Amino acid sequence: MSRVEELNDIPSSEVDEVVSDYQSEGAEVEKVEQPDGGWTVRAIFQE
Amino acid sequence: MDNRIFQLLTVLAISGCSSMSGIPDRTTDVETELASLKSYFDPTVVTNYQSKPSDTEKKGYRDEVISARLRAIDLNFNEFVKDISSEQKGLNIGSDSTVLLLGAAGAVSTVSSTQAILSATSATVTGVKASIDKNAYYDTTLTALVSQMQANRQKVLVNIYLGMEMDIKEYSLMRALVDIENYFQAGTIIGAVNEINKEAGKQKSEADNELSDIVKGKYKKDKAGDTLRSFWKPDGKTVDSTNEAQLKSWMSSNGIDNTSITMFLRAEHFSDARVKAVADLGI
Repeated sequence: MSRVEELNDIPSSEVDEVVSDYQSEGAEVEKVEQPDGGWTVRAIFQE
Repeated sequence: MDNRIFQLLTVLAISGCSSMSGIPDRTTDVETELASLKSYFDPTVVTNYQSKPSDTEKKGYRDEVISARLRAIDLNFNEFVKDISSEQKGLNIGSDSTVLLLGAAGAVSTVSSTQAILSATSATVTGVKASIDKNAYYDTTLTALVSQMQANRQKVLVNIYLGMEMDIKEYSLMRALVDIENYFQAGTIIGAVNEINKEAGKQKSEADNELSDIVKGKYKKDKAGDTLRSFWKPDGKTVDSTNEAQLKSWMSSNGIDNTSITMFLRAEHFSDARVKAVADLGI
């Protein structure tokens, strides 16, 4: 069973920090660039 | 024409025309066996059952009828699978052999015109094979349907066998006849398709539920979030486990469960909660 979180509209300047924070919590993380230039970070927590 | 080519074409003719089902022929005659079971399909089985003087005799007769009907259904089912399998595999195996053999004939021939003819024939057969391969979806679907039919039949069969362990008060002939009808239906294409649709619907529903479980948030960087992040990661990189425990405890006691700290720090919908957390934790 896994739990998924998705944080949208992250500015480019902040996306690495969000990725790093999610990783600190043990999540598998992927980042996807949005058409408007913002980023979506998706974190998967295995429970 | 070279004798070797004649020999190959003879083999070709045999291979191309024969139908191979992949199912061995039975040693018993199906029609004869089915005829011997006919009396168990007579409507009088119910009155025969009811006229038995004791429960033991009724149970014996019930089991006899069940076994006979299961056997008849199995015989018909196996013939059905064999028929549809023969139809499809016969085409595929035959044409595969033809292509291979024509290629081989072309290779041993030393006469260029013969090679040209064989090559043209091979191209034709390959074309036929391509059209047959268009039916690959049908072939694959059929295999899946037969597998589903077999799985459905097994499920119903377990119930019937369990019923046969019971006495007639718990599992009468009439109940057995209902299960036998279900056993027959389980071996039909309609039954298989229904079961596949049911399973697909269930899987879709599970997938939908999983999707709805995704927690989403719109990013918003604010002062309270920065303050809490500094509390969580004082040097900006390393987690302070004591502070993390305090933060998680606050989140939990304020109804923010199953949410990461990262989401809490940066999601727009937690803006007010973050301000409260900063105040409550005295940061």
